Amino acid sequence: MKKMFNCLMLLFSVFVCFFFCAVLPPGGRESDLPSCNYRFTFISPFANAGYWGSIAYGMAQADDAYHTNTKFVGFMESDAQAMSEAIRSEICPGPDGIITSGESDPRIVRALEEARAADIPVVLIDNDNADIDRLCYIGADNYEMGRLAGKDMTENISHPLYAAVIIGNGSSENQQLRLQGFQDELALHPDCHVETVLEANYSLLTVREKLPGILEENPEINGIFCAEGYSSIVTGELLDTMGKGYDEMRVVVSGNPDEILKHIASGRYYSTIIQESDIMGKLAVEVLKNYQEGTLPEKDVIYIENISISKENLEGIKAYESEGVTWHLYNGNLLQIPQSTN
Amino acid sequence: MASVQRKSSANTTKYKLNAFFAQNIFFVFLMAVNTIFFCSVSSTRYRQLGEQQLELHHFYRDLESLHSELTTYAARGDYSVLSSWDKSLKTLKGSVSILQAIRIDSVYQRDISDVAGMLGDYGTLLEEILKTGEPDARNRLYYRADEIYRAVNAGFRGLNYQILEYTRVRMEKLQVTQQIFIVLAGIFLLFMVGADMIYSVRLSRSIVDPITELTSLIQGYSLKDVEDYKEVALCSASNEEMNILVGVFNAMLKTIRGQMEIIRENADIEIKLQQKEVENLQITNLLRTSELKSLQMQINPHFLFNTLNMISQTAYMEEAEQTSLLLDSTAAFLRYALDFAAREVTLSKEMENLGTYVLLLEHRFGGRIQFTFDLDERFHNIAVPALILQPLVENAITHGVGMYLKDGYITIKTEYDSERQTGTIRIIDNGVGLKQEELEQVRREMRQSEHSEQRLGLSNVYTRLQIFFHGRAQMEIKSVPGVGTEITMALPCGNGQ
Repeated sequence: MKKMFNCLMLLFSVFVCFFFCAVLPPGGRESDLPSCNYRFTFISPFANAGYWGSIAYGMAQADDAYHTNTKFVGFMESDAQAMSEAIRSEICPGPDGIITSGESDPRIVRALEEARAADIPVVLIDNDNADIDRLCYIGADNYEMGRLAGKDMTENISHPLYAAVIIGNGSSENQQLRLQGFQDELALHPDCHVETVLEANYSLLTVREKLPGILEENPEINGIFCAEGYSSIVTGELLDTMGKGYDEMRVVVSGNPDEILKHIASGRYYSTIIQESDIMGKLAVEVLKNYQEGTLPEKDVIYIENISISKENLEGIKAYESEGVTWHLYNGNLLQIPQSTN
Repeated sequence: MASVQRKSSANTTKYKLNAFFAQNIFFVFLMAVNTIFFCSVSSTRYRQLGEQQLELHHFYRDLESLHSELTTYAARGDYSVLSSWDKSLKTLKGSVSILQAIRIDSVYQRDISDVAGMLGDYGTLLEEILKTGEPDARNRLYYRADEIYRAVNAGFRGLNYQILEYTRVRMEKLQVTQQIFIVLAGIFLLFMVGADMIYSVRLSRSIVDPITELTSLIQGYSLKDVEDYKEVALCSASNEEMNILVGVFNAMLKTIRGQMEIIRENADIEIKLQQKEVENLQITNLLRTSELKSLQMQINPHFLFNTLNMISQTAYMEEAEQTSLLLDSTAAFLRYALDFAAREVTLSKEMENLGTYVLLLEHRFGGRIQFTFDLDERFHNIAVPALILQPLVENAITHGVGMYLKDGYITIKTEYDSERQTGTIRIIDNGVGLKQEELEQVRREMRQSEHSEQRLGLSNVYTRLQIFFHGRAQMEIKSVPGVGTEITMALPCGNGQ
C-alpha cells in the first residue's frame, strides 16, 4: 500500500513539475533575455546567408559577447534608393551606431551624412568611401585582393593570358580597387591582358545573360576573374554548360559559398580569394562599442587578411555561417535565411 | 485475546479499506485541482496571445488616427482636431508598454524598443508643433514627425510577423503542453487504475482467501477430529480480523475438546457405576437364592435335628451303630449348611464338611463309587466361601459317575504352589464326561452366571468365588467324553487374599 502510494506521489510530482515548468512561466524561456548596452544597426546591401550573412553572424557573436543589440537590415536586390531610405528610416530610432557598406551612390552618401548629422557614428565595411564621415573602415584590402587574384592567374595559367573580369558595380570603390589591383598585377607580365570587364551589377541574371556572349565574341579569353560573389557562384555552372574544359578556361573568384567551394574541389575554379567575413562584422561591433565607451579606433582603416584558397588548401576552410541571423527586409518583412549545408 | 490482537490496527481490513479509499479520493482531488488549474492557465495564455496581437493592431490604428489628426492640424491649423492628443499619446504609450512586456527574442526587443523611442520623439515633436505658432517651423516639425511616423509604420510588418510567429510558436507549445498533459494525465490515471485493480485484487484475496481457508478447515473438522485437536493456522496472509476469528475458533475447539473429555469421563464413571450395580444385584440375587435355599432347608431345623438325634439314640440303643453314625453325619452336614451358608470358613473346615458329606455318599453308593482325598494342607487355613466343594462333588456324582454300577472314582486333590502362592483344588471323576459342545455350554453358563437347574451348583460356586476373591480366583472345567471330568479351582493364598 505504501509503495503504491509513493509511486503515485512520484508520478504526480512529475506531473506537477511538468505543469510548472511548461505552463506557468508566461513567456517561456524567452523571458531570460539579457538587457543590452548599445543598439547598433547594420544596413547591408544584401540580405543573404552567404558573405553578408556571415558578416551579420559575426556581429551577432559580438552582440553575445558585448551585450549589444544589432539590427540587421537588408535587401533582396541591390537598390541604392531603397538603401538610402532604409538608412534614413533607421536614423529615427537613434541607434548608437550604423554599420554599412560604403557605397558611392550619392543618395546613400547623403543618407549617411544625415546619420552623422544626428550624431550617429558610422562604420563602413567591405567597401570604403572616403566621402563619408565614417568612424573607420573595416574590410579587405580590395586592391591587394585584386593583385592576389592576378597573381594566382598569371602564375598558374599558361601564357599568353587573356582575362575577363566580372565586377559588381563600377561605382563601388571596392570593385574598382579589386579591378585595379588585378590589372596592375597582370601588367607585370607582357603577355597577360585584361580583355574585357563585365559590370554585372550584383545580378545572377546579368551574368547568365552576358557572359556566354562575351566568351563567344572573345574566343581568345582563357581566364576569368570574378571580383564579387554573385558572378563567382554562377560562372562555373555557365562554363560547364558551354562545354569549356577546366584547362581551357581557368577561373579565379572571390568569396566562399558552398557552390564556389564545390567548383574549387572539382577543379572548375582554380582559386578563390576570401576574407574571414564574420571577423569583419565582429570588429565593426567592437569598434562601435568601444567608441560609445569613449575609445576611438587606433586606425581609421582596418584590413582583414585576404586568403587564396585553391584545391591544395581547401581542407579546413570555414564556410559561411549565418545561423540565427534575422534580416529586416526594407519592405518591413523579416527574413531568416536557412543555413545551407556545406 | 481479541482486544490484545486489536492493538496493531494497521493490518486490519477496515484500515486498509479506509486507506485505499482515502488515497483514491486524495489523488482524484489532486488530479481535478491540477486539471482545473491547467485549463485555467492555458485559457489565460491563449487569451493573452490574442490580446497581444490585438494590442499591436490597436497601437498602429491609434497611431494612424493621431497622425491623421496631426496632419489635419498641420494643414489647417485647427486645434480642435487634436483636442485629445495627450490622451491618445498616453494610450499609445500604454500599448507600447504592453508590447514591450512581451518577451519574444532580442530582435523583437530591439524593434519594440526602437518603436518606443520613436514614439517618445513623436510625442515631443507633437508638443512642439502645438506650441509653435509660426507656420514654417510647425511644418518643419511636422515633416520630422511624419518621418518618424513612417519609420514606426515601416516596422509594423516586422512586429506583426514577430508577434504572429511568437503566437504560433506559443500556441504550438501550448498544444504540445496540452497533449503532454493529457498523456501524463492518462498515464497517471492508468497507473492509478492499474494500481487500484491490483490492490483491490490483493485486498479481496486477503479477505476472501483466509475465509475460504478457514471455512474448508472448519468443514474438515468433525466431532471425531476434535480428539486430535490441533490449532488452526492459516497459510494465507491474513488480517487482524481473521486472526481474531481463527483465535476464537481455536479457543472454541479447545473448549469443545475439554467438554468432551469431561463427558467421556462422566460416561466411564457411569458405566462403572452401572457395572457395580449389576454386580451388586447379582450378589443380592445369589444371596436371596441361598437364603431361599437355606430357608427351604431350615424348615423346622430344630425339629429335624431333634428327630435325627432321637432316631440316632434309638438306633444306638438298638445297637444299630452304623445307622446311628449315619444319622449323626447327616445331622452334622445339615447343621454346617444351615450355620455357615453365606459365610466364610477356612478351607480345612470346608474340607471337613466335605468329608462328612462323602461319608454319607459312601454309605449311599456302597462300593459303586470310591472317594479319594489327596490333600496338601499347607494352604487349608485360607478363608473360602462355605459350601463350595459339596456342590461340585454332588455334580460329579449326578452328571459323572452316579450312573456307574461299579468303579466310579472321585478324587479330591489339593496342591499348593508356594512360588505363585496359589492353592489348587481339583475334583476329578471318571464319569461319562461331556461332549465338546456340552463342555463349552457349561463353561459359558458358568462364566455368564446363566445356569440351568441341573448346573446351578457349578455357576453358584464360580460366582461366589469371583466375588469372594475379587476376580482373582480361577475355575476351569476339563472333560473328555467317556474318560471323565476335572474341575480345578485356583485360589490366591497371599496377603492379598
